Amino acid sequence: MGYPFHLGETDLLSGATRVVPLDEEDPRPWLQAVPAGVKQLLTFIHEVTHHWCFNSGVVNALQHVSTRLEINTAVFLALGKDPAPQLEKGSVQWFVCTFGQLERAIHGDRRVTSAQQMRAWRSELLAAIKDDLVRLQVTQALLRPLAEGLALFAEYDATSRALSRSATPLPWAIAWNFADTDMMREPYASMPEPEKSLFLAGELVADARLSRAAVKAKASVLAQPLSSTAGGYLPGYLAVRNMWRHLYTQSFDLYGESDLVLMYLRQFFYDDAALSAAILTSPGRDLEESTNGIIRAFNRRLLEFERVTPEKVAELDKHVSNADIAKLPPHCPGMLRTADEERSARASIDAAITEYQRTGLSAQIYPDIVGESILRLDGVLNRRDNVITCSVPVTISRNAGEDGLEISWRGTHVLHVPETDRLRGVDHAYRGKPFPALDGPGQLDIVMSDFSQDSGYGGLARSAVISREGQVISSTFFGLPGERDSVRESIRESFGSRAEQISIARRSEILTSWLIDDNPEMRIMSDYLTENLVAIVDSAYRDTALWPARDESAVDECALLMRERGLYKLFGSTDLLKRVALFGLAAGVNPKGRDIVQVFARHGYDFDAFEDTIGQVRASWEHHGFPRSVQSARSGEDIILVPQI
Amino acid sequence: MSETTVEIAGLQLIDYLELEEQLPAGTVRQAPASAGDPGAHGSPDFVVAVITLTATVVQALTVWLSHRHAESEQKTANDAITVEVSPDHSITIRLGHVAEPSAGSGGKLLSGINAVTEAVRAAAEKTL
Repeated sequence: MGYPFHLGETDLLSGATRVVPLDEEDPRPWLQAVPAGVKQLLTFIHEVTHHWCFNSGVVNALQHVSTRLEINTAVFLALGKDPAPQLEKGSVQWFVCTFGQLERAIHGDRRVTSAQQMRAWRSELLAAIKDDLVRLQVTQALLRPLAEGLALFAEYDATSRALSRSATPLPWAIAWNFADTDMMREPYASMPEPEKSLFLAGELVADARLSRAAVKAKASVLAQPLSSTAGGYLPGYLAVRNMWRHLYTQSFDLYGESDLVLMYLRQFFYDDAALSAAILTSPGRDLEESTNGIIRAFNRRLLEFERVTPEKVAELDKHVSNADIAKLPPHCPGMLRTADEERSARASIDAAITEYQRTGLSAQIYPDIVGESILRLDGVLNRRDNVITCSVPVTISRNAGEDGLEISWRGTHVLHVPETDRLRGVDHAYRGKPFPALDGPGQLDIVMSDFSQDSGYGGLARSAVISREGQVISSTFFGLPGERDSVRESIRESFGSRAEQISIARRSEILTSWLIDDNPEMRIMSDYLTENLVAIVDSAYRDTALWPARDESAVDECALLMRERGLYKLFGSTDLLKRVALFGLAAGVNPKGRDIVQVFARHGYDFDAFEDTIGQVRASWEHHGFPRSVQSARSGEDIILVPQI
Repeated sequence: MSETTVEIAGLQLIDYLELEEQLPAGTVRQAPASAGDPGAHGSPDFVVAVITLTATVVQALTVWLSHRHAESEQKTANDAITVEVSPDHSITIRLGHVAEPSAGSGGKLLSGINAVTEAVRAAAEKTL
């Protein structure tokens, strides 16, 4: 087996998701009205947050860059040489030449006799390929700490009060996928929505966050390097917590409304049209300018966050809680962007898309290659609302004389599919191919549909989709009956299994890896960029991750101290780091001092250990200027304690 | 005589740091992580500790393993533990989600905390 690995994983470009390691996937808990026995709630929250953030304007721009790269690479290869007979079969050069030959066989040979013209075309395409490779690499690296920071914030901190006007889709997804039979028990059963789901989700999440496993996991995050070298978890998490702190220190309501803060942060960064435009600008020959354009746009956005006020968050809250989503204006308020600025950025995005899809060099030479890639991109974009939480091979059988299909997983019967769930004879699903023979191997995907709809109710729509070689056979629906038809229609139109999603989204990566291997200059460029990106990304996050530090010299000292072992270097022991993690988790669930003391007691720590934790954090502040001491305030009879981390 | 090593896979970073605190200095190091897929996002990676076995290490390591096992809240996949002893007496312990259902080439696979601590002691007796 390969090391290391993530418990769960979400792919940036395709949105393909899993919430447990591949060999531990078990579809059974998902095949009930309200799942029972689904483990890994916090991993689910982490991955669903990734999925939700990646289903956004900025990642959409990145998907266009990836598609443009795929098109230009395919056209570049199609304009290349035929494979020479002496080429070793299976070598990189053989792949490069054979792929080009194949493209010519399918789409025609558009090579011209003028060597000068061919050189000019290939030179222009190669420049665009290099530029887009750099864009992808830089953007992925810049966004990674933020993506992980938001997912960790969702996992350990974000909560939504029952009276919230708007919320992320998470509470509904949690309540309806992890509540088991609690849903049907009092006091929840008689509660109206959305209070029922919000209460239930809050309780489930609180239990998970206060477990020993969560404390260890959070302590491990706090000990991560303050660097992008190991995934950027700590710089991202600290940056997001500090942005939350920036808001709740202005209005303490936002301490409890951290779910709303999460929603704001996602919108602020991942749906920023100016950042999307910088990512997608048409490629040129000046790689440094492309790189700097993206870095500038990202850094500017990070800096702009310092101007965000609770009123801006309230504007977003009001906007998305508008019951009539269809009537919402396209301009999202509260994002520190005027409608004109947004229009201008969107026009720039549209122009870049039009250029590569219609008027650019590749579109002129090989419009068919462009058309095929656009179709693939449309497929990926159409599926972006679907979260696949489980995907396993199954055996399909049909009992003689009985209706429907029987589905077995690892020799155990797991699902009966009634005839009414079969999607036979559907043109879209089968694309004119004959209906697959039913008995035999198949794939079962658990699909959650329309997850990112602002109403959040989309999280209820779960389907078990049976397919074979990409063809949908049936879709069994679990959720509110009113949604059944629209969800089935969406699956019929655009279903792709998880493996299919990843392979389509990775096409440009595979094609360009051949080019890089075949072209020493590109390999040097890629290696050089990889080495230098660490410093670029670290510099982008440093000030936000250490925002509350005492002064500039504390920032410098802590950035250096925390570079390899994060806060472990400041606190000096794993026991203290676990107590600091526990304090943050407990205060996130309930900041009342006496409740935090009780949580400490449940974890085997007495009052002295509780007080020592506060004292050690204060000592770190006095000694290193970071993190801030635990803040306290009186609220009636209670003392409210708020740690920075 | 070549040194005997114990590799522990499936550790959270905090587990690894605990091992560093509890084992003699210089006897434990973190195996370098392989490069990840640039598009794959998810919770932090597990880490692998490589421990050089000495008599002191054996005692401290078995104490740490037993304590960690006793601390687990529920015996689920997270708490699985297997050990594989290679013909050259090197040992690979796999925890939680990376615990192996079957032995690799030529190795002998055991599961459960007692089997693991016994295997570590036995390897130490043969090689130290």
